[in-house]
Order: sequence, then C-alpha cells, then structure tokens
Amino acid sequence: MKGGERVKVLLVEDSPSDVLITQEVLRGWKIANELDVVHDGKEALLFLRREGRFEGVSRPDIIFLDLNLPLLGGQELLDIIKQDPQLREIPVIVLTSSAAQADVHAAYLSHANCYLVKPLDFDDFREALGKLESFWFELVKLPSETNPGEDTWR
Amino acid sequence: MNSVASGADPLTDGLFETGRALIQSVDPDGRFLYTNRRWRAVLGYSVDEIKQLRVFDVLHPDCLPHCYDLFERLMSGAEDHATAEVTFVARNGHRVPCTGSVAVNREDDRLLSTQGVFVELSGTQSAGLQTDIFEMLYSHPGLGFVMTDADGTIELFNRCAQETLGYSGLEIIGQRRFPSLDAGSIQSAAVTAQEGSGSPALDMDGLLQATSEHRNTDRFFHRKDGSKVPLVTSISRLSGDGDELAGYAVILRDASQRYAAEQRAGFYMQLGTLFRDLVNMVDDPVYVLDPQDNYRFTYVNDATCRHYRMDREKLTELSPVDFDPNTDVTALDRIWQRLKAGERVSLETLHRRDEALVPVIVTGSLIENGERRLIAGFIHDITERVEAEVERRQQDAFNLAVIENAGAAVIATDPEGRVQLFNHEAGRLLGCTAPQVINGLFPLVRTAPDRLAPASVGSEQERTAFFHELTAPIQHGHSQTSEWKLTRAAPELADREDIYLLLDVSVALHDNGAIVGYLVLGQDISLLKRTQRELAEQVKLERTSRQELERSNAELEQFAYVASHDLQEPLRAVGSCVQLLVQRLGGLDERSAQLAQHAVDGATRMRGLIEALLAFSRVGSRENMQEIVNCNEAFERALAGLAVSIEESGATVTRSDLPVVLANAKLVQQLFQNLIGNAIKFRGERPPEVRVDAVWRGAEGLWEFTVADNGIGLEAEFAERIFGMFQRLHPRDTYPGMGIGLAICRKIVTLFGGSIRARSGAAGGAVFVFTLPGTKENLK
Repeated sequence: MKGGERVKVLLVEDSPSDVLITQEVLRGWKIANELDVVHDGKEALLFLRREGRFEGVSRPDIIFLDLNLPLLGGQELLDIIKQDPQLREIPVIVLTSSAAQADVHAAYLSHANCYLVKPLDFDDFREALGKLESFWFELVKLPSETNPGEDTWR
Repeated sequence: MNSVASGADPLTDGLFETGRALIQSVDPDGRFLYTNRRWRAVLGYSVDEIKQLRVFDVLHPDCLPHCYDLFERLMSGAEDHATAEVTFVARNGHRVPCTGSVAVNREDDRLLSTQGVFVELSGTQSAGLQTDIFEMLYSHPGLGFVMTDADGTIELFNRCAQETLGYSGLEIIGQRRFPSLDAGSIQSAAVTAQEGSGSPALDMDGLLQATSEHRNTDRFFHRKDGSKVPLVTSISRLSGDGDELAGYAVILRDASQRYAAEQRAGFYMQLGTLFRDLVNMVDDPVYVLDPQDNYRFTYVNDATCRHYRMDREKLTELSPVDFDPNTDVTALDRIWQRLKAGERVSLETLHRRDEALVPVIVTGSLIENGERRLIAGFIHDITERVEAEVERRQQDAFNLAVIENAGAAVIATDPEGRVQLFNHEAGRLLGCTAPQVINGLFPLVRTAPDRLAPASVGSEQERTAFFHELTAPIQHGHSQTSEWKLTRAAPELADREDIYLLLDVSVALHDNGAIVGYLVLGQDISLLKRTQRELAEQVKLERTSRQELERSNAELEQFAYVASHDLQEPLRAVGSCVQLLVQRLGGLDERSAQLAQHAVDGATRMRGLIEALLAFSRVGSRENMQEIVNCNEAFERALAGLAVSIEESGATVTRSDLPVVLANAKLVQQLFQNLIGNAIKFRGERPPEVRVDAVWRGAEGLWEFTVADNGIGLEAEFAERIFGMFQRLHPRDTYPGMGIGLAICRKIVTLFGGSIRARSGAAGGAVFVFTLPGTKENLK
C-alpha cells in the first residue's frame, strides 16, 4: 500500500445489520479505507464492471463476499469473478455465517482467496476483520492498479 | 432122568438142575435116589453108574468115620438136619472137598431119604460166579430166561419172560412148546435177518432145530393176548459132563424198539446206493417218516441233516413233533388222514434248529414201500425268502410312505393314462381320494388355456385329450414342466383363491424303449405365487419409500442451508448489534449491561442449538450404511479425537478385543467418541476410567457393546430421557453442552437396527449398552 492512499473495499452483503457492523469495524481500522456496499450478486457484477449506475467507480482492492445473497448467489458470483481475467486477480474474502464443509470446499475450488466464518460475538468479529487488515494491507503485496495490463484503471 | 422130587414144583427142579451146588438124595441104605447135573458133572459119574453106587463109595476114606457117624445120627432120628464137611472122590480119582448140609425126609417116623446140598470148597469162586450169573439171568427185568431139559421140556420160565409173553410160569413149565410161538411169522429183520430161518417150528423142537447152535435171531412171538412181539432169541446148548445134551437155555430180549429202529435203517438200506446218492445230491431236505412209528423219520437225506444240524442216527430217533412247536401227534394224524385220502399236503411252519426257529415249508405225500405206508416229502428252508419278503414289505412301506408324504402330488399312470398311483397330496389338490381315481382316466381336464379342473367336471374325451396334450411333448424320456391355475371342485371352495399348480410330466421307459407309464408331479405353488406378488408389492413400496427418503434428504439439505445461513444472520444481528449498542452507549449501569449480556448469550446459545440440530439431522444422511467396520480401529480413532480431554482429565480408556460390525466406520467412531467423551465429561472425583467390551448375542444376531465408566452415574428414572434431543440432567455451567451427543448415539445405533440404553454400573458410574449387527465369526 502506498502511503496516504485509501484502500478500497467492496462489501457484497444483503444483511443490513452485517453491513452496519462491518462499517463500524472498518471505521476503526488504522488504514484509511473506503467501503463500497452492494446488496446482491448482480449489483456486485455491475459494480465490478462499472456498468449502469456504477460507471466510473474505482476498482476495489479487495472483496468481502457473503455467500447467502439474493438474485445471484455468492458462490456463483465468485465463479464469475475468478473466471473473468479482468477481475480474478482481486482477492476475494468469503465472509459468511456458514461453517458447512460443503461451502468451504466449493469456495476454495472456485479460487476464493480466504474463507472466514463470521463470529457471532461482535468483539470476535472486530478482531477477525482486524487480522484481515493487518494481513492483506500490511503484510502482503497486492497487485497495483498501474499494472501494465490494467490500463483501464486509473 | 431120575426125578426124586416128584410132585415138586418144576421150578425147584429147574433150580436144582441149573444150580452150582452138588445136590444128592440118598435112601436109608445109602443108595443114590437123585443127583443133580452139577453133582454128576463134578464127580464125573454117569446116571447109570450112580445107580450102582452107595454114597459111601464116593466119599474119601478120611471122612468116612465122620460120615458114618453123621449118617447114623440122621437115620436114627437123633437129628434131622446137619452140616458137614466131606470130601468126595471123583470117578477120575480127584478129591473134591465140599461143605454142605444134609436133611432127612421122614414119613410117620419112617425114614425115606436124605437130601444133601454141597458146595465145592476148591473152586468156590468160579462156582460163585456161575451162581451169580444164574441169579442175574433169572431175576433180570429185561431178559426173558427159559431153560429146557434135553428133550425140550420147559423147566424154567422167569418173570421177565412171563411178562413179555403174558403167560405165568405154571402155564408154561413142563410143556414142550411155547404155546403160541408164531413160527409162521418169523421174519428176517434188519441186517442179521436170514432167509429160510422161518421154517415151520411151532414147538421147541422146531425152535431148537432152527437154532442148533448159539444163535441170535429175531422172531415174532404171539403173546397170550394175541398181539405180536419181536424178540431176540438166543439159544444155548447145555452140555452134560460127557458133552451129551443136557438141555437148552433160551434168552429172550424184547426187540420192539430196536426192531423199529432197524426197520428205519433197513429202509435206508433198501433204498439202494444209486437212489440214496441221488437223493443226497438234492439240496433241499428230503424226508421219509413212518406213521406207524410215531411219525419218526425213517429216512433223511444229507440236506436234512445239514438243515437240522444233526447226524442221521440222532435224527431218525425224532419226528416233526420234536422240531415244530406248532404241531403234535394229533395234528400229524389229521395230516396222515388227508394223505391217505390221496391229498398232497404243503404247510408253512416253524422248525426249531439249535435254539432258533426257522421258517420252513414242508410238503408231504403218501408213499408205499411194500406193505408199509410212509410219508415222504421236502422241507424247504424259506428263511431267505421270508427275510427278503419282510425287507421288501418294509421297502414298499417306506416307498409308499415317501410317496404318500411327499409335498408334491404324485400321479402315476399306465401308457394309456389310467391312474396307477395317486397319493394323498394329489387327493388334497383334486378333492378326491385314491380309490375314486385308481384305474380311471387321467383325473384332470383343461377348461381354459391356462386353467385346469378336476376330472369330475370333464367328459372322458376331455380327460383323454388333456392327458395326450400333457404327455405329447415328452415321448422320448424328457420331462416337461407347465404352470396352471386349478379350479377347485368343491363349491364351498369356489370363492377361495385359485390354486397355482406346477405340473412336471415325465415318462418311464423300458430298456427296450417301450413306455411303461407316465409320472405326473404336481406342486401347489400358490404360496410361491402369493409370495411373489407380495414381494413385487413390497418392491414397489420400497421404491416409493426410497423416493420419499430422497425427497426428505433433499428437504433436510434445504433445511441445513437455511439454518446455516438464514437463521444465523438474525442471531448475529441480535448479538452483535446489542454489543455494538452497548459499546456506543458506553458506561451502562450494571442492570442494563446484564440485560445486554443475556441477549448476546441467548443468541450464542441459539446458534449452538441450531448447529446441534444440523449435526443431528446430518447423521447418516450421506453415508454408506453397509461397511465392514473394525471396531478396534474405530475405537482408536475415537480416542485420537478425544486426545485433549483424555489428557486433561487423566482418563484411562481401555477395551477388550472388539469385533467387526456391519455399519459405517465414521458413525461407529462418532458413537465411541460421544460415549467415551460423555464418560469423561460426567466424571466424579476420581480420574475417569472407561472400559469398552463386546459380547455376541446369537439370538438377535447382534454384537452387544458396553461402555462402562466410574463417573457420577445416573439415576434409573433418567436412563431413558438422556437419549432425547437437548435433554440435560445438569445445569449448563456445571457440565456444558447442547444435550445432543446421546441423541446422536441413539440415532446412529437405530440406523443400523441396534438399540442403546443406559444403566447404573454395579460399582457406581454409568454403563451404556448398545448393539450393532455383525456375525459371530469375525471377518477381520
């Protein structure tokens, strides 16, 4: 992360309470961030492809993806993202209440970068997201938008 | 012969003459009146010489004084009886010392004579022997003893002779003939018989003439009562001193028994060698028996001897009565009457041989041999035939029993289809009995393409037609099976279900290929049919229920998905939002903070319950339920899964050698893990000790496992309740958990057809007992 630059997070989540909680936690992050929220898979695709009302939005640095979504499900959206050469390098963090192995397997088979079961306890949730912050935005190196192949991004 | 003792009993005379004593009678002058034969024989004087002598002439000079003295005393009448030892001098000069007694015979004081009886002192022994022989002959109960003088006048006739011939001594003695000697019927009997000896000899002269020397001949004599008796007659010449004829001794022996035996032997002899050899070559026993001889066997061949295991001599003493416990002389008499009437007789009976009874057939016919009429015949040993017959009857009875009790109907026919054999089951199926159909036409007719009926509803043509239809395809020894529905004949059974009949028709052939008959086996396969139908229905039902199961599994998945997503989010909304609210508000009073905490706890617990419910629902939903599971391995994996709690609690978990069961490895592991985990969780003060064992319950075909611990145990009233969903016996803060573990255990065990229950251990703690299917022989 370049200093001073905000990280851009896309949250795909239909539950208003979860959106609220996530917003609350990200507000507490040390790293400056910009959180965009879409409420279903279709909207997420529009956002990522900057279509419709999302024309001109920035490409997110990371995607927080809930699996249980209306219209287009989280797993289907993950498949589309990871099969799309324009989008698949964006890290997708599956953030869901399902601990079912079937869901875990399916997510990783579709190249999810990480699978996280939402803790029920708010403090636990904050801690979990805190770990994501330090890992993805402090420890690892993410692809830059100035990548030669990504000239459409500014 | 100069007889002194005139008028005396002839018997006494006889005794005098044959006695060993020297007997004399002397007149008062000493002249001899009488000397007996012995006297003359010993002293060697002839009768004429004696007439010239006085007693003193033959006495030795040494004893004369003594004798004169004795003679005087007797003559004078001083004594009438004296004993004396005297020495005679024989004509040849030999001295003959004797001892004896002398008596006098007086009449009106006038002396008539003296009688002396002397015994030789030398040669007493031989004289004694002669006396003994005489005594023996005279008193012998079985020998007739007759003596005559040289003229043939009978002087002695002993008791046995009297009894044998039926005459008293007085009637005979003094006669010159046997009153009824039946010379005309003198017969040569047996081997010793000789032709020509039967010359007319009605008196002793004839008898003596015929037997001038020592001779044994068999003669028939007439008894006084007219009956005949065969007697062995031995005649001996009695010689005087000069070899002149002194008389005759006749010994008569009753030969009736020997005569009968010799008759039999004689018959055998008369058979002739060739015929005898021929008869002996016959393997069947041949016999001849004589009805006049108490039915004794007159002749038997070698086979008869072998049959009775006796030699011929012994056998010819016996008669069939001795062998046959079922017959007696009266019965034989009856048979004899029938034979005489010209019948041939054949009878089956039992003959004793050694100690056993042997079944025989005896045939008999009348045969004539000269004057004799005899019975001859064969004895057939039918032991083998009787045994074979018994065996055949048993075999027949067995075969019949097999056929009668066979589960199938058996109908055997001749080539034309007439029923020869019809068993009980056939009768049951066709509603008739064997006597109604035996020798009749085939008892089934076809009333529709696939339907038969008992013959009572069909015409003869129909019955014949169906029989041909049934047998046509199997002319060459093959069998043919066909399936039919049978209409019951009995009206009361008409509304019953049809009988399904499987007919199997085969042909029995002679060696030459000719048809002996047909065998029709009918099996009532109604039950089979019904079972098939029920099975088909069951398969259909199972297919339906499997579809339902699949649907319910799908619903379960749907539920699981909903539970894991849609139910969790509201819970998190409650929990997290309350927490967030508390943080934003900051500094809540204690009461408010507590309320907020309850909301969070409730949500947390709700989530636990949902997860437990999900876990319970998922048990076995996608597993292979027919795996071979090694319980030892499942146990070890369960322990690995419990490693942390075992270490923390210091538990000791042991097992015996556990069997192999037919279940699912993952679920069996989960079962062990839940139960062992449970035992560790509900431990008491002591470190937990858990023991797993298994025993085979053959009756149920299940292995029974026990998981016993030394923990806090359980009260009997809760032993069943603990297997319910979310059932807890203890406060959450003492023993945490959802109360789902034992419910899952029960679900697992039930899935495999087993059961689970809990009880208190004998030494405290709890024992969980569950069963799983398997086999007694471990398939390790």
